[in-house]
Amino acid sequence: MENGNNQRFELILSYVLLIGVALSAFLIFLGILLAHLQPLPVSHDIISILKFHFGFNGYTILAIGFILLLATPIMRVIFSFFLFLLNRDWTYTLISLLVFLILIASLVLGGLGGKAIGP
Amino acid sequence: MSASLSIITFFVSIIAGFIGSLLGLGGGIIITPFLTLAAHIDIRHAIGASLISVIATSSGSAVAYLRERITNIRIAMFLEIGTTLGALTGAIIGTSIKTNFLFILFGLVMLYASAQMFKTRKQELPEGVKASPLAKALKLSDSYYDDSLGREVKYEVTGVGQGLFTLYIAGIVSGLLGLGAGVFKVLAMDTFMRLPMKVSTTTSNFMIGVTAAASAGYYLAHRMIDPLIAAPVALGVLVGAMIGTRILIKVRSTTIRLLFTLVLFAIAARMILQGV
Repeated sequence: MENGNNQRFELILSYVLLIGVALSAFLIFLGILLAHLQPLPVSHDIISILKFHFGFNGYTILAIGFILLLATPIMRVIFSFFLFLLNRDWTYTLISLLVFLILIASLVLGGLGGKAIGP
Repeated sequence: MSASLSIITFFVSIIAGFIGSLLGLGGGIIITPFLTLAAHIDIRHAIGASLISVIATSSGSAVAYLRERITNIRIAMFLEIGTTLGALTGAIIGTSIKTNFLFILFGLVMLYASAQMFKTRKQELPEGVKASPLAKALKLSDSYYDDSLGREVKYEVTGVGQGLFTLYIAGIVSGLLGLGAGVFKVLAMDTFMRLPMKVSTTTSNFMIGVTAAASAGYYLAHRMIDPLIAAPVALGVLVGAMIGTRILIKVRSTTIRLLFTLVLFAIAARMILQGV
């Protein structure tokens, strides 16, 4: 984008994504190594792990890593909202807010067991 | 998942991340068939792993594309209204629609699109694009430095309404079919909005993570993400994306167009076969 402000904008978003990706990759890598040291729980999807096997073990670390990875794009939308707000770019502040609200609605509705949606 | 299968999955995922980051796709086109056909993992967990692949490709490659300032954040943010609304609609209407028909229909649409793209394969950058009033109002025109051309590329944007509408439909359909999220985004930006190819693929890359995150609730609630399968996928895809982002900057748009056309053709064929 044209001015210096926006160049910084892109750098900040880049760092948000970098931190999310690096941290989750680290946890996933650590988790998968540690998970091999422990017996495999019968149900080992993310929610089951967090519900029934929460503690200092490879599976919990894996689950947290994945939650963080899933949260990274959402954090990016939240940061965009605040950056547009700081830039007093009202149109895009509104657009970011709208995207965030639809995103959360879809997330919650899907989580409540709405019918199948794919990637 | 055995250790050896994890390692093979890791390497296949590197290829998926590489192609995905280069072409603006999520890598599901490689991950899902590999996990189901070669690794004999059930389709639910394979699709769960491909959701992870989409998010990892998107976030991983956007780190570099934002820094290089190729991604158009405004276009992405605006079009995300359409894609997230599509995901939301998908969550409401669900899979009651017969998908075989959709597979064939959209397979044919993609087949047509790949033929159109083949015709324009020699076009490095779009020419003679006039900014539409809506594009002006939304300040969508921008520029990026193209390393392969060694100059700043300024571009105008048009067809914003068509782009938004297409991405809304694409959001629903790709949700229902479980693939094609990135393909439709690139096609809409290329065909209707007439963006330079690199802007289309990197902006698509940027958006697919948010679209995928919008459906993450469903995947979690339906226990579709097995961390032991998804872990080598996530790590491999990130490595692949790191390589892909370096390559995109260096190569010509025509190369990316040609590669995209080939992948588009492959996806179209697969969708039609799946529907028949």
